[in-house]
Amino acid sequence: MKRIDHSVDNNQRDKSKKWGLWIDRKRELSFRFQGRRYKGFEGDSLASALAASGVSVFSRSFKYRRKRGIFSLNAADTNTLVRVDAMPNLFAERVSLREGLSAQAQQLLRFNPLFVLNFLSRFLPAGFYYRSFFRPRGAWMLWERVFRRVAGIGVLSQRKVAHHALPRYDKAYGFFELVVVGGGLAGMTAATKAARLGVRTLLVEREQRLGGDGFEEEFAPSPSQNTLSQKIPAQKIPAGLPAALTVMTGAQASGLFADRFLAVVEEKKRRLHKIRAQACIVATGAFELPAVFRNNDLPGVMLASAARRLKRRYGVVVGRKPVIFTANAFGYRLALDFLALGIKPVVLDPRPVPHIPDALSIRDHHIVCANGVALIEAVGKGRIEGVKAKIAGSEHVFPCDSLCIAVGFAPAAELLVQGGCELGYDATHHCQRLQSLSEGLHAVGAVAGLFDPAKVRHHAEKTAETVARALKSRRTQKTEARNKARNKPQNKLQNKLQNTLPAAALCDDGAQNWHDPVFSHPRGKEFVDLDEDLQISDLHDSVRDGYDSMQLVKRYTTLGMGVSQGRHSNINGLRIVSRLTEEDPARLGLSTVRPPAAPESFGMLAGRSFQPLRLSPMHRRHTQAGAKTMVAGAWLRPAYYPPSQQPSAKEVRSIVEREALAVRNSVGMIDVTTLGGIDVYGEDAAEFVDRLYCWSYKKQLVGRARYLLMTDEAGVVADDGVCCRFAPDHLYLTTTTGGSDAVYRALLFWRSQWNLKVEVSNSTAAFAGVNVAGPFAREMLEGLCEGVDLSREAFPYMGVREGRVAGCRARLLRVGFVGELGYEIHVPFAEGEALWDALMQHGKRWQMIPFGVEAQRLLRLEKGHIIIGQDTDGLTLPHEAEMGWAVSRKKPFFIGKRPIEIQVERGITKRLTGFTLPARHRDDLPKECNLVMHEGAIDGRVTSIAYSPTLRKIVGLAYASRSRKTLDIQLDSGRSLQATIVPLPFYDPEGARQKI
Amino acid sequence: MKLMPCPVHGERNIAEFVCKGPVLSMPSATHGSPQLWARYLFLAENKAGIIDEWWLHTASGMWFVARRDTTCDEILQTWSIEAYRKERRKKQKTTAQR
Amino acid sequence: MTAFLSRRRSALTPRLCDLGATFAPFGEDSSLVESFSAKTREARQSPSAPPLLLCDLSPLARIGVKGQGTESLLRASALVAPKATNESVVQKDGSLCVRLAEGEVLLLSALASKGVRDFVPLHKNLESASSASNKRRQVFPVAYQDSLCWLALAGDQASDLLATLCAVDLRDGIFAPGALAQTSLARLSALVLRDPARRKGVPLFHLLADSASALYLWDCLLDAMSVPELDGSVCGRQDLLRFLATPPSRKRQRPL
Repeated sequence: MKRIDHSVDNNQRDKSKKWGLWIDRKRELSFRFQGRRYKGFEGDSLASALAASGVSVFSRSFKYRRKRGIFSLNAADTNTLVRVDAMPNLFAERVSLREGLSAQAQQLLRFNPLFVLNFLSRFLPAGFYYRSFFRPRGAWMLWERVFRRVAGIGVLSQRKVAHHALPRYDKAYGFFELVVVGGGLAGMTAATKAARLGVRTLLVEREQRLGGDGFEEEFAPSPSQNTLSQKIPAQKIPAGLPAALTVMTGAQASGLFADRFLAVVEEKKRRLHKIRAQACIVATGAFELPAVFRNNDLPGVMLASAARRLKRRYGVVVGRKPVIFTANAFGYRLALDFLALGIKPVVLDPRPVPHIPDALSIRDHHIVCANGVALIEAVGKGRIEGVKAKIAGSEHVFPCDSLCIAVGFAPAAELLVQGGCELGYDATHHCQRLQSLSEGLHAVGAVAGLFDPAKVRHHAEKTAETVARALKSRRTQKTEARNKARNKPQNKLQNKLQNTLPAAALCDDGAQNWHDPVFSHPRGKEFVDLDEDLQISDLHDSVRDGYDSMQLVKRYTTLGMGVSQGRHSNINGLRIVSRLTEEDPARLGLSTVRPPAAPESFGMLAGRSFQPLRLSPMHRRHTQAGAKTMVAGAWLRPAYYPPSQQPSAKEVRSIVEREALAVRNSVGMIDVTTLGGIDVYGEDAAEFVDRLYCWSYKKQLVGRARYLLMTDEAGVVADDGVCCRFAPDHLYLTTTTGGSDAVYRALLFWRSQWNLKVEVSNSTAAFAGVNVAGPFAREMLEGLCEGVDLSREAFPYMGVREGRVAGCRARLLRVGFVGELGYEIHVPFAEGEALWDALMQHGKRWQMIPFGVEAQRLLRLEKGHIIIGQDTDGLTLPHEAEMGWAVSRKKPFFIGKRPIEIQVERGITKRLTGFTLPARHRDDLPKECNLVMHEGAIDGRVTSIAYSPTLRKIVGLAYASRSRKTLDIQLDSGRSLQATIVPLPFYDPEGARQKI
Repeated sequence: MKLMPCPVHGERNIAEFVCKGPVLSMPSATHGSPQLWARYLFLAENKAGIIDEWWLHTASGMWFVARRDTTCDEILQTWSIEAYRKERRKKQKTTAQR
Repeated sequence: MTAFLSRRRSALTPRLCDLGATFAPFGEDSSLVESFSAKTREARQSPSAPPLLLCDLSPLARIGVKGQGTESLLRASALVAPKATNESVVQKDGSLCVRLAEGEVLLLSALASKGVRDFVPLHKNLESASSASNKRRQVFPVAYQDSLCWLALAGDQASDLLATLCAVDLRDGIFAPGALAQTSLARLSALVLRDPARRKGVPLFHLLADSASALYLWDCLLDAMSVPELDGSVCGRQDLLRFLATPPSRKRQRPL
């Protein structure tokens, strides 16, 4: 394809080269848009560089696919959303130009077939999807797919994402005494004043440079410098201060959360800052408001501030024949800007009589200036060519190539509203204004309603002084508190920061809002919300249909729900609805503002996120043995040890069965480090454990272990484990893997409630543990043990001993969870791997294999042992789980005692029952949580089920009412199976094998 | 993110804490009626006003009491357990004296 | 001697082995990485950024003491405890005593310790307190040697690194030497201690967290250090001691 060298690069730049304070004309950059090559300068944004080369169409609108161009140049409208490289939905005015940048529009620009919708607007009013496209039945399913493809803006292209290397996103915490949001005149003044007074200040500015919309010469920043001292030559910053003031440009405060916690998005560094501020001064400025008239969305129609910004920052002249529609001094200042470039604008003013100061400023320039103007429409094909207006009853047409609107401002108070400040409509001045400020938040500059530079400076300095005073006294308060005695009650810090809002009367004329910039036209297309393509008729229809409060209008018409979140549409929408409903705008109100105030990429939210992981010291050995790991809380545990990668489901079953049979027939070893361990010390250790668990422990002998069952205050089963007594004043409690944190917290809580002499410490990570189980366990361990006699007489079942295993100091417990002769060995965490290695080496003679969690679950099921959380739920009482034997009837108190009593008296209706099924069902097993039915009603559910290789039939546990002989289990498919109820345990009912 | 003024560790992000609920006294375990126990366990008063709550600082395992105004979610004061007990005893003394 | 021959192994052994570390015998039955080979050390340090070092000190001795008799036991063992919670005091032999709560302290051995004969009087006193005859003992040991891992982080930018993981302000001037923060580090409950012996010179932080999460914490720290502005590296104990002994260069960078 022939490369087109665009010959009109930068034809819209200011030839005198006086303007363009942000660009460096010596450094030219080339870039692409829609495949065409353009040239811009260092310091340009993508939008300004395109505007400089005469590009006026950036996108097509959401609904009607109308051509759209620069409007607010402030991320207050979606006209300029483009895709750059792989990233969709970027505001062109926020994209810094760089060499080789490649940008694309996100809709077809030149010729867009969907533009036909523009002529079908009568059939697509607001809320059309509530009333149409769903007949015949099922039609919506097809239409929805069409609409989903047509709606939406940017597209995330997987191919493009794969092509460009994914950048890394990061997060960091920050801590400041004062955060000033916004680096315009007000923000810079407040920040430097506060820093000079010694307050640790952060100034956050979303553009790449400070200065904001500083329309006054001396605040215009020079292009190559970025230091604050050069920004404000009139004020000197003393040496040694920089540490007190930190400046972040290219960073936007996106959310203000409780207690002045700010989310600041720094896109260029791809970092999300989470900043805690003791006080916040918001200087975010104001959004200029548009006028609503027919075809007000034509490319070339823009806000006056956009035109001024293009000229001052980037040296771009928006038109040679401009028309300015203005009701305040800003429009007249723009007229003076044009005159300075040698261009004569036409000034149209809706105010009935000339405003003296404004009129005087342009008096000597002999330009066309009219008052009492009512706009009729903008005309042009794809671009503005003229403006039709009504002046004193007669229609006039003004040919033009640019129309600039200046009819007022609304405070950019999003952060403040997030922080709980209130905005209200001031009927006298026809503008939105802050009514109240929350604690610790302050507003300066245009967001507070001040526009005159002298007033802004004065107010910003005063605010900074107030804040600095309060922060310094808080500093001394804190150091005093720290020096006093500890553990004294912390009183709420006195000295709430006083907020100062300027009185409404101070807000000057320069920003005067025109009360009615809405000009409806019989043929429509007067856009209130450009993002959503909403016309005045849409709001009219909404009110007529009965959706007449602002909350309903918003949701029914989607006013303000687009990307710009009502920044250019909310106030005019409010005015229109106020007129339609004849309701006072102050009473109508606006909807809540929620974060984010800045667009946040998903990477920003996902970058550097933390998910703690806990690993046993033997983990390396498990992965080396090829174990399949499973997640248990924050731990990783080996589920089973497959001999090869990727076994099939059937192969997995046989691996697990093989591991289980090895334990039954010879010896196996499992890593039980994840089980919780808590050391309870002190005179009252046994009394304490007595009160927390159901059974009795005061008389437990040293050297013995006893089952632990914990219930919560309502008597519901919470956790279980084993209590080992190593000394009269030392008990060691074990907990389930998932319960260790909760049990430890509960122990700490109850310890603080009672006046017992007891100390509790969480030893879960202090010990690594293995359970060696099987008929050869004793034989195998004897060779490795020192200082402990493993014989049956010396170390009976449910005994605990201390000694050495493979040279490691160990606590040995004889417990029977899996139903075989077994020893649970707890050694110091740092010695876990050494112990595992020694046991694996030594155990080769008995063909000892490691077994995983799956095999352990199977083995315990064969013994009918419950697993908390699987065989119990949030309501299970001990007696329902057949654990009534572990509940003491004689103790005066334990947690849950009375509720258990009450409910046992009432009667226990369901119990955990053991059942079996013949082996032929093993390929279509009922699942855990399949229902147990009785006479068409739900009687209970299956909690555990598995095929037992030892017993060669299927065994399981289920809840069911008593006095049944069989269980009617309903499978997922609807089929039912009759299971035989058998007493527990299924395997070795006398428990002889674990007691040998 | 809210700040909690922990009595021992100072102001910390609320993410470091867990709330157990209001400070309540347990009914008798030997002869508390079912109604009393049901109210204690299952019926929360949900007071709109100032309540005392149990909070846990998870990083240090320390339990303490915070007084909070539930209408505006403002934390008014915090105590370590010993300090809270002292405060309660002082209050009981003054109410008894009246 | 290599890692897999000593009976006691730091939880970070897998990572240190991957980095090609050599372990030297330490104490009775442990091993410690004293230094990395010259090649690996140079390859990692970037000449531009000020050095930021991470070192595994898990094999060094530590112990916790808890109970009403803690004060008297410490006195009897010739140890000085800090008065207030969340503070620490240097002992005569260079070890640290940190107060975790009113009746609980943590003792950390001196960095240069040889691993034998740490806290001998304390251990003796604890032993005698726990002998069967003394049923009313008021003081108990806490097994921090195994339940906590110990990492040291040294360098001017240590607090900037920690600011990516921790919501407490740990900067110079705010977080004093000797101060302890019991807080959340990368969502893990951890102890963050600024070494009290270093009032001038490069700041040194001690990070102690649950041993089971040691590998996770290590990975988080290395990931955070890999940011170009920080460019930290891993070092052995002798490397760390040497770095701490060199005179401070006051070149500071503020990457914010």
